Amino acid sequence: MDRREFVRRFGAMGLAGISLSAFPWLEGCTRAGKDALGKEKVRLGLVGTGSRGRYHLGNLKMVPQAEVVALCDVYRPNLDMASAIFPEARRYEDYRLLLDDSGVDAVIIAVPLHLHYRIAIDSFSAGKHVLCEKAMAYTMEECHDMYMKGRASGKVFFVGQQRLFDAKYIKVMDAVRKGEFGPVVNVRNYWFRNHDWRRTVPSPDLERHINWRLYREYSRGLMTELACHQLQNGTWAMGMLPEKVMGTGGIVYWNDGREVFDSVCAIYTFPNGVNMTFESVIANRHFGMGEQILCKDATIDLAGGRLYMENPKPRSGIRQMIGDIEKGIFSNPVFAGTSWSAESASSDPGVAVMPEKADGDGSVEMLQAFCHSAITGQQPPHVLEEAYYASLLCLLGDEAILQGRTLSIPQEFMIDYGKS
Amino acid sequence: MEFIYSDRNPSARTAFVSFDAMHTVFEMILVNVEEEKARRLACDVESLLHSLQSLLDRHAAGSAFSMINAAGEGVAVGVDDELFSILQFCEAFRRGTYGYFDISALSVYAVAPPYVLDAEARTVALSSGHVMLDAGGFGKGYALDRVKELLAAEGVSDCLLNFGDSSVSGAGRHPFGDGWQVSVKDSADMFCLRDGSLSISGCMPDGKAHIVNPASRQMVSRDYMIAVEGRSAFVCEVLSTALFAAPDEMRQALMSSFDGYGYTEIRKCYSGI
Repeated sequence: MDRREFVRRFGAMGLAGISLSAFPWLEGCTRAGKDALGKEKVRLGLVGTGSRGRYHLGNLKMVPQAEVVALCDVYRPNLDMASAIFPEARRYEDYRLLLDDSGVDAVIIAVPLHLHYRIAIDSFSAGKHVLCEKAMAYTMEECHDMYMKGRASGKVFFVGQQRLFDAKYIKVMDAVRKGEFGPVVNVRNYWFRNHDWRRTVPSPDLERHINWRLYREYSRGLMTELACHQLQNGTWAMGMLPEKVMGTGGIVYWNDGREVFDSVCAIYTFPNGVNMTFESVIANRHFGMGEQILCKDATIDLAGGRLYMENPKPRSGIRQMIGDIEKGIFSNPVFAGTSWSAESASSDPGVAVMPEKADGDGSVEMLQAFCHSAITGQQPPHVLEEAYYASLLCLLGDEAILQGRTLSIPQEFMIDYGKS
Repeated sequence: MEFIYSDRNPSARTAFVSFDAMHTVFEMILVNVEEEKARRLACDVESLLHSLQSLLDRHAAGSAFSMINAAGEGVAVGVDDELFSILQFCEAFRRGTYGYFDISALSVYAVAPPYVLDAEARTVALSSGHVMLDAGGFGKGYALDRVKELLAAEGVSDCLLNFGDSSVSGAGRHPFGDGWQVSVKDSADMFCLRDGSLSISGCMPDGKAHIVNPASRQMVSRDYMIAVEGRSAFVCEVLSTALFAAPDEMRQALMSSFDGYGYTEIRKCYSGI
C-alpha cells in the first residue's frame, strides 16, 4: 500500500468496508441489527453500583433496547447515586434477591474482582444473561468454570472488554488480520499514571471494601485492572495465543500498606516469536497509555488512533504537476533538496485511523451488542473467547511475576480459540 | 509502483510514475506518451533501477559492490563492462576532483588509488583490505543518466525525473514552458532544466551529516547545500558531493576541469513566521 492508498483508506473512511463476518459480535451495533429488534427491550439488573457500574448506567441511557429495572449494592451511598440515574429501578442490597427477580432478563456485574465468579455462576443458575466486567474472575480456574457454565447455560455471556467494540480498533484489526501492514513483529502496551489509585474512605473499617484494588484478597492489581484491557491486542491482531509469559513487579513508590504491585512489566511471547509487552507504573504518568502494534510496513498507535507507514514517502513535489499540466500551467514545483531516505523520515505525522474524531471507547457499543444478543438469545461467536483469553493472560502474567518464572497457559484451561 | 495517467489536457497527456528504488523514491513525469507505452516504460525503468541497485548497493548480499568489498586486498574480482566503466569513471573523477570525490571515502584509511583495474581481464582488485567502496555519492545520478538514455531510445523527448529529491533531470521541455522549473525546498533558489540535470548535496533533512571528507575522513557539516547544474546527472552528483566535502578555496580549481557545469550555494531562507 503506498502513501496515497494508505491515506485514502485510513484517512477518509469510517467502518465502511469492514467485513462483519470477521467481527460477528458487532451485528447488534449496526443499523440493520438495531432495526431488526424493533421496540423490544431487555430488562437489566446492575449488580455493583460503584464508579464503573454507574458509568454503565450513564451509557445505558443511550441504548434504546435497554431497560434498567433493578440495582444492587451493599454500599448504600453508591446505590443511592445509581438510583438517582434510574429512579424507577428496584433496589436490592443482596444480589441473590435481584437474581430471584423474574422481571430481570439480564445482569450486568460490576463488583470487585473476587466476587465476579460467584455472582456470574449464580446468575447463570438463575437463567439470566450476563455481562461481567473484566477481568473475568480472580483465578484461571474460575475463568474456565465461568466459561464452561456460561456456555452450558445457553445464556448470553459477555465480558467487559469494550475495545472489542471500539470502531478504531475494529478497523485496524481488520486491516492487520488481512496483512495490509505486513506481518506483526511486536506489540507494545503500557499504562502510566501518577496517582496512588486510592478512593476516599469515609471510615477506616471501609478501607479494604472501597480500596479493594489495592489488596490481594480482592484484586490482582495492575494486571487485572489495566493489563486485561490491553493484552487482547496481540491475540486479536494475530489470531493466536502467546505460548509463554515472563514478568517482574514490585512496590517501588506507593509503599502505603497496599499489597498489589505499583510497577509491573511482563513479556508475552507468541509461537512465531513475536513479543507483546505490558508495562505499568503508577508513580509517573509522562508516557500515559499506549497500545502499539508494530508491523513490518506500518506502526499502529491504537491509543492515539494514528497509523504511521514504516517507509513513508515524502509528498511528491512533481505529482502536483499532473494537475497543473491539465490546467495548462507551467508550474514551479518545490521539491529539490538533500537526499530523502527512509531513515530521515521519522517526523512523519501519520494518518488518523478514523476520518473524524471518534468519541467513546466502545463501551456504549458493547452494551448495545449485549442487549441485542440478550433479546435474540444468540451468543455472538468468538467475542467471549477473545475476552476469556484476555483475562487468562493477565492472570497468567500476574502468576509469572509472583513466581518469578516463565509460564504457559495450563492445558486444562485451553478452550477453542476459533479462527474468526 | 504508483502510475497515474491523465489525458484531460489533450495537448499534454501526462504519465506520473513513482516507486521505491535504491533506498529512496524514484519519480518521473512523461509527456505525450501513449498510456500503454508509458506503463511499459515505467516497468522497464523499474527493472533497470533494480538491476543497477543489484550492482551498486554495497549493503545487498550478492551485489557487485558487496562482493568487491568482501574480496579483500589484491583479489581480482571479475565485473561486467558496465561496472568496469563505472569504476573507470569514478577513478577519473577522484583524480579530477583532487580526491574530494572518492567512492572509498568510507574506508578506515585513505588509500590512493583505492582499487586497480585490469582492462584486459575486466577485473577490479582493492588496494587494501581496509578499502570499502560505496556508491552513495554518484549512484542516483548515474542511474538517472541511464534512465534518460533508455527513454530517449524509446522516443520520449519530454520528461522530468526525480530521484530522492537530490538528483533531478529534465529532458526536452514542459508542455507549457521552455524547460522544467525546479525550486529548492526552504530556499529562494530556482532552476530551469533544459536537457539538464541538478544535484544537491548537504546534510540530511534532519540536519545529520553524512558526507565524508575523503582527506580528513571526518563528516562534513555545513549550514548550506551545494547545487550543481549541468548536462549529466552522474557528473552533477559527483561534483556536488566533491564540492560539499572540499574546502571553499578548492572549489574554483575543482570546477575548472568541468566545462558546462556550474554550482550554487543554497542557503535556507525562513519565512519568519
